[in-house]
Amino acid sequence: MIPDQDDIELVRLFKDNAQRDKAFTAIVKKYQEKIYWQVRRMVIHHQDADDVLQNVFIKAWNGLQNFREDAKLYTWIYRIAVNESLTFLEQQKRRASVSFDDISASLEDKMHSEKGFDENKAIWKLQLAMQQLPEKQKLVFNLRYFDEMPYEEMSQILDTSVGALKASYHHAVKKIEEYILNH
Amino acid sequence: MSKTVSIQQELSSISQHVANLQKNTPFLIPSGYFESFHGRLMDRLLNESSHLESAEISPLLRSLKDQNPYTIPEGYFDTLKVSVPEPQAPVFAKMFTMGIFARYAAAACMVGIFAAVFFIANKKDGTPTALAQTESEIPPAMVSPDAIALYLEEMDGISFDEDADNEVFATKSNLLVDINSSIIKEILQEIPDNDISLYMDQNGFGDVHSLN
Repeated sequence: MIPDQDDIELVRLFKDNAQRDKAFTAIVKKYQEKIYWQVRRMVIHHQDADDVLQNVFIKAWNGLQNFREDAKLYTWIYRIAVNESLTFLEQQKRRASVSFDDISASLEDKMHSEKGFDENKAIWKLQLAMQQLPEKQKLVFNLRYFDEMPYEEMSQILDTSVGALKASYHHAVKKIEEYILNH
Repeated sequence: MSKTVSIQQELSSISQHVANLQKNTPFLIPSGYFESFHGRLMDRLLNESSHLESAEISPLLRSLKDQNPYTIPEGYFDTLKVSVPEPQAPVFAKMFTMGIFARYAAAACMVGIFAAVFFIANKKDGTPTALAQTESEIPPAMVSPDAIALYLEEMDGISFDEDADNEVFATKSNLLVDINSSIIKEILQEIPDNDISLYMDQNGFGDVHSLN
């Protein structure tokens, strides 16, 4: 991973009007893939993930001018991504007037429509198992399992204690194991 | 101990089964997506900033944008019910009622009758041969054997056998509909008596009185 010093420099350059576009381009290229996959695992469909990803970086563009350099840039961008993903799922729930259980089923249906979907393959079973998790547990599992994020950083993003995050991760892994073994 | 090893050990301690899974995400993305993402993002930022620019031109309008002066009854959206009106039968179907159809049919009949009268009234040629020839020109719909026979009986006491081969007025191929006696009178008035007598002699009717 690129050292945080680069992030501080990028933020400084962004605040310089003459260098803003160049700095922002560098920030986008640095974080777009990581943020995209984080979002995609939450919302499933590519088009939805693209919409959320754009919203994330637009918020970043609007907020970077006032960004305090004592915070970590990527933690801040991740927090925006988590909030935008949850907002998106909440909007979908409201539009369809469905409960959490129904939104899980809806995301499962979306997964079934994905190209190359094969419920017999372990990697697809893992994704299906994740949709059974409550949203917070799914987020914790995503950040820890796929992005290998330290609990301390995760705590800043999710505004939750390290202990609670460890417990949440433990439960998430157990539920996923149970799902995979029974399907 | 590296972060990755630590996380992998933690996972193994919770579930070896999950720890053995491949970490790949199976979702597909369009080719060149990440290469083009930045360009699309900047286009969108440009569009949004031009909206903001408009707001900068008129801060007053910008300040009013989010203010809504209208009020709604409490709980309005919770109790809102939308009723879809039942589809109405197209007005087009009501145009052609039987009454209107009957009127058009009656008008067409009247036009047909007037045309026939005009056609018959304009026939001037009265020679027997011409008469014999014109019998086929008389529209079959204009004269019926019964009507002609009735007329002739009424006028001169001439009775006609219905089975007679009455070439003058009708043939089997010329089965006719009724026509009023005034028209028959008119037809026969145009034919000289001599012609009628000659024809009747030729066809075996013997002495007959003038029909005029």
